[in-house]
Amino acid sequence: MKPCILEQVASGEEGAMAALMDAYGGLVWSLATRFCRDRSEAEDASQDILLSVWESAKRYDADKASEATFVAMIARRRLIDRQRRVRREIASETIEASVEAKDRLSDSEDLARVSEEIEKLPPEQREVLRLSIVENLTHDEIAEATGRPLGTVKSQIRRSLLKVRDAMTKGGVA
Amino acid sequence: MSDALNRLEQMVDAYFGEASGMAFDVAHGDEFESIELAAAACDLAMSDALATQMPSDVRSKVLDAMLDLEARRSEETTDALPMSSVPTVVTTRSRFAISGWVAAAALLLIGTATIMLRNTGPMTLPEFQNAYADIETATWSDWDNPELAGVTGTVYWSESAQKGYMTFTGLDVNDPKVEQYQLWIIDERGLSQRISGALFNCDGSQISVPIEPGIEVHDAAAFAVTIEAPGGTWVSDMSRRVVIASLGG
Repeated sequence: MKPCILEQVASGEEGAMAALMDAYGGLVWSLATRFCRDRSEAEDASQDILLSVWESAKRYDADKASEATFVAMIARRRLIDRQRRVRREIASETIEASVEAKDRLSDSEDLARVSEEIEKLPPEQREVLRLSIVENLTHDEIAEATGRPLGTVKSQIRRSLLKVRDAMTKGGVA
Repeated sequence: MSDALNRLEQMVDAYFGEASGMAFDVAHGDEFESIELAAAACDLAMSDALATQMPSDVRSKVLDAMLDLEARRSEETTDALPMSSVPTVVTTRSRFAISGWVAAAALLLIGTATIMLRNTGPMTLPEFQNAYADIETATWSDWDNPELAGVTGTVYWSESAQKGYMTFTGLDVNDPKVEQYQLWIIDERGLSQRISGALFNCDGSQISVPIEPGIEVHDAAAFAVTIEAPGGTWVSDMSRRVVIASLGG
């Protein structure tokens, strides 16, 4: 298990920021490049996110989520804010989870549980969730891409996300 | 469908930007955050984010910028900041821990905001209603276990004028030496920023108060009132809640 880096950051320990970068810089960069139009914007966004993580570190509660999930939540929040602010459309490339990424999921109890819950979803529901969260498509775009009615897309996303939320809550991590 | 499930489903819609005028992040902070955490966990589970490395040149650049800000943090002090009548921008996260560099950024924003402040005196409510064609209204309701329940009234907001008015009935008379009411405006930026719109007192059973944020509001979504220490605050923890009103909500 990773040492609690966010605790070090919150208490202002020397070297904590470098440790944060080493542990979660890649995660932040991955999300930033997915949401942003170019490398320069992704760099700005990464800095913005890491500042937010730094500022929010005291709020981290290990009973609610793993550090990685917390950092990803802050990152997505900042990126969604940026995206909505400039009201632009994002065209994302499909990303397949790598073997290494899946292996690392087992390091985090909440992510393992979430992964399990996602695997239980019907394939079409899983795909809609992935298009929404990873590909960052709007519900309208998903309906168009999959040929499914908008109402179905909306209800599948709601159901899927709330199932995951329930799994995290019941497991004591949300 | 239960109210709780319906509310959660609306929160999911709001999270994905499929519902406007919602302010669940403020009204139901913990529940909304549980949706955000679930989405973040799904992202990590379905993508390669955990396996990605930040390029070394980007790492150096970002780390240098962070350390620079950290260095500046030790040079800044926040205690001398006057709060009264100064418009504020407060990030949600800073309610838990505001750092010196955040204060420095806030100082810059205040400088800008002060320049942007309009010099006109406040209008009366009827004058305000006659002056602008794009006034939207929203009614107050109790805000998630409020300290004062049953307060009613209306918010009037003109996006073009960047100002508004609010009325209250049933607000407790406050002692300004002990506490004051503060209005927060939540705009399209949601959790990332909320804007102080007024610091005010209640001296009667019915009052009306002008709303004059010092910085630009982008598509106001909700208005919320808290009770704060005299002079207001940069970093409300939103623990002393009173009322909330959502435009279009």
